[in-house]
Amino acid sequence: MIAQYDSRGMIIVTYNDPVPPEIIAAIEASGQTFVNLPPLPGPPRQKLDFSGEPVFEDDGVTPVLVDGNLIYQSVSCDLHYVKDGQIFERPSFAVPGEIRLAIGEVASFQVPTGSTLIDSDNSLHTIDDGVLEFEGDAAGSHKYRLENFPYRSLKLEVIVE
Amino acid sequence: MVNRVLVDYNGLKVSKPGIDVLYASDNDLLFTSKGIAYRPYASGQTYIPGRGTFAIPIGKSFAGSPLMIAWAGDYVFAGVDIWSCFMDIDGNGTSTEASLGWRRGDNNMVFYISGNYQQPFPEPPFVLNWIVFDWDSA
Repeated sequence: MIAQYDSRGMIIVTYNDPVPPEIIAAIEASGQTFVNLPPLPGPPRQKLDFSGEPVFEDDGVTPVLVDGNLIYQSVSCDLHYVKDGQIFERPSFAVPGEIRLAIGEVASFQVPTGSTLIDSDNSLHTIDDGVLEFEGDAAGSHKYRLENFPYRSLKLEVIVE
Repeated sequence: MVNRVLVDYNGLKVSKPGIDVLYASDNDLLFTSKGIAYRPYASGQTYIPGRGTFAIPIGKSFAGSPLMIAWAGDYVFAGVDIWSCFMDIDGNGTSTEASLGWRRGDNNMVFYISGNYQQPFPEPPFVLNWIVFDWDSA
């Protein structure tokens, strides 16, 4: 598997195995940064004969082993990132995707300092004190996106009833 | 011993161990010659950070435009030559809101998403999954 990433370590394109050699050559020629995660050898498995029956050594007990199936590695743009050439899982915000509030009710959540809340008008609100707070001031549904790479992007909806 | 290899007027089939090829479904086959025409060439994901045009290097000069299928959420796109397959993704009758296709010249698959569509298509950022099928091997 190939994971192509930007200067922050965000994975922008992945190519599943088996990756055609032409694609690897094209990425190398472009000078873009990438991690190559080749398939891993699987554990040895017992050989089967032409009818699908397991094969044993002459003693009739010891199984005849052959190479196991390859294990393809899995990397996702939204779940992983690259740091120092290694793949890591992106952490998650400790914030639910749906928040229900009564009018006048307040909900607070701890988030990493510098996180950005983006509203449906694409207005950005930087959270400098590490506290994300919503107050139910008017009934309705409000959609936001919470960002702070390498944290996973979170789409959340605040419903005030 | 079961029958494993069949060559007849339909082509060539090889079944999995223990499966009689005469009665095998496609899922029970190791190989069938009828599948070569739409063999997947490559697959993967692309992060779409916003609206715009995004090129994904494919690295091969196909004799004919390959078939591409991509999906995000519940939405599926298909395309061949770039700008030949526009799509109306919000159902408002304007079919210039998204496109998926292969761009001759630089061997890139290109996904375009316009700035003027409305929901219900997912608002970027989102992850686009894709597969390129190689007609050349047919």
